[in-house]
Amino acid sequence: MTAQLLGQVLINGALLGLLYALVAVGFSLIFGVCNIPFFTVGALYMLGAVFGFYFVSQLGIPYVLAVIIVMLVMGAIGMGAERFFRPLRGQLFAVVVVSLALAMAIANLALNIVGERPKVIPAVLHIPINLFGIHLTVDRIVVVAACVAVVLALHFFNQRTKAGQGMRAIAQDAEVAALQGIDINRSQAITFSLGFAICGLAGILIAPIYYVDVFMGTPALMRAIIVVVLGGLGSFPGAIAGGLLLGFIQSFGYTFIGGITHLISFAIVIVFLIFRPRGLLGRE
Amino acid sequence: MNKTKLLKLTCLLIPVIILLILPVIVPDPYVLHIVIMVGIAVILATSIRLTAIPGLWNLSIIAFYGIGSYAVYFLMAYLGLSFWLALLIAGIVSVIIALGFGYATIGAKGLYFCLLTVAFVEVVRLTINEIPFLGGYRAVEVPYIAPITIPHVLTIEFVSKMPFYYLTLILVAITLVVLHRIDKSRIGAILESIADSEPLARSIGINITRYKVLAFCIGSFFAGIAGGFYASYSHVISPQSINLWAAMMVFIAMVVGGMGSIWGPVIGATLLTVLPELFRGAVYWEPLLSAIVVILVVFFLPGGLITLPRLFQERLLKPMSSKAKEVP
Repeated sequence: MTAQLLGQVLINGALLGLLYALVAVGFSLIFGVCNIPFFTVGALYMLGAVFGFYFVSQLGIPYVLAVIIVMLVMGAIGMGAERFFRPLRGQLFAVVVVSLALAMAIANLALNIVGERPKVIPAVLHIPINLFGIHLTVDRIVVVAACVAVVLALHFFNQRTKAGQGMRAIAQDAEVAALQGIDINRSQAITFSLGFAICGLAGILIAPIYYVDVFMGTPALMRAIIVVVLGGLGSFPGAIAGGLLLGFIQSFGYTFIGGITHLISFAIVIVFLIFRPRGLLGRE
Repeated sequence: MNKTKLLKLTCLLIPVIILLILPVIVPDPYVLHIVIMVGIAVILATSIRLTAIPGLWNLSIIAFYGIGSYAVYFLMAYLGLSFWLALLIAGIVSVIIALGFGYATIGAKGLYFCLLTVAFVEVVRLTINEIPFLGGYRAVEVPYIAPITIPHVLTIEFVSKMPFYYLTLILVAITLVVLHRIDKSRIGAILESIADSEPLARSIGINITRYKVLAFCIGSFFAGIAGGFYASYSHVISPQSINLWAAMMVFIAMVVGGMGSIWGPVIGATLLTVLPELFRGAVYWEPLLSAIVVILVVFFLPGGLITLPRLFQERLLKPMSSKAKEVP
């Protein structure tokens, strides 16, 4: 094994992992604040990619503008979704079932409207570069930079701003937070719209690199679950760490072991959780 | 008291009698097929309920269903065992795997356990994908059940739907009776006390881990049996059916029916199996329509479909008789 190959595999793993981390952050955010395992995130990711396809390929909107529009649209949908879920607050099983039914409905709608054939968004900035013999393309680097920037911004928002502090307070104890005058409805609405926007962003960022496909939701959900579990529920740095870990496992696995990697990554999650139930960076 | 008991008994007896004579009145294989599928869904949904009572977010029932069906396939195709022995062993294999997985993971809190069970479903599917003698990712053919012959009386050949239909009824009946007995037994009471408050249950000397694992194993046993039965019924099994969505559907069936009683999952499983058949006319939109029904039920019947009669009673009948009493 040459250093070059090792570098390539490492870089590929990092790229893959950071892309995975984004959906995981959406899942982690909604779980952390609202205490809901929101299984709809996979469908939202697919929705972001599908919207991206319509905006860019059909309406001819420039890609960067489309990214912003998708985030705004998804954020608005998230705001509406929070209102929809409000009557179910506290009934965990009901919330899970509704989130599953919603994912089913979105996937079915997309299948009927978009069709099952994969769609393509024209590649943006697909410029190959060669760094010490390691092959890269500019678009992937931009995407990764965007992922890192979003997660860092979210972390900053969560730790430093008033709204973020409110969200954290609710995550700790919703009742006590309400007694302190924190508007739970508002905080949860912000959380949902942020979570939806991030999942949509992940979808439209991936779209030009791979392709748009109405079945991309479930695998993304499974990856998000792995990443979140590895990194620790509710932790954003954890999501990045978990994403990188999964990215490296898959990148090394596919290069050196082959198709069984998929199985190994799930087995690792189980073994890992048995020994460290709160993930890499999760709180107690 | 006696009257309500009588009412309950008739409520139970009428569907049982209808089910028993159904193949005679409606000899349509399509109808029998649906009832068989409902039966399998009922076994799965009632088993998942048992594990949900002590607060386990279990989505792995479908994995044990898969393990059961592949165990029956392996035992019948490779070892030449009879179906009946294979079915029993399939249940036992499920229990053994559930015991190992359960003891290792049941300490994980709430959602972590849920995500672990999701990962477990994937592990089972992907493992079968990698095992060549189980057919890998391709579908495999399960051998036929040998006919049962009682000399000079009758021969039961497991070819048409009819024998499978009655076998389903027997399996469902056994499952319901056993799970109902567990519900009413000391174990059921302990499981409910764990759901109420774990610290309290622990403080009175209940070994929480042991009872949770016990519930998990019993649920997995019946799931394994259901899977083994399905394998020989459909003759063709493939790892693709062991997936996240199948797991979720069992969970949804339980919640939609209502967790308060064993009849909740029965109703939920029936609804979720029959719905797609009802929407067959709009086959492309079937998942959307089913999802809408599920969402409506969850929103308007928080306790599940099982609370529908009581709600009906309270909303419509009570206000007429005792309106004055309702002032808090």
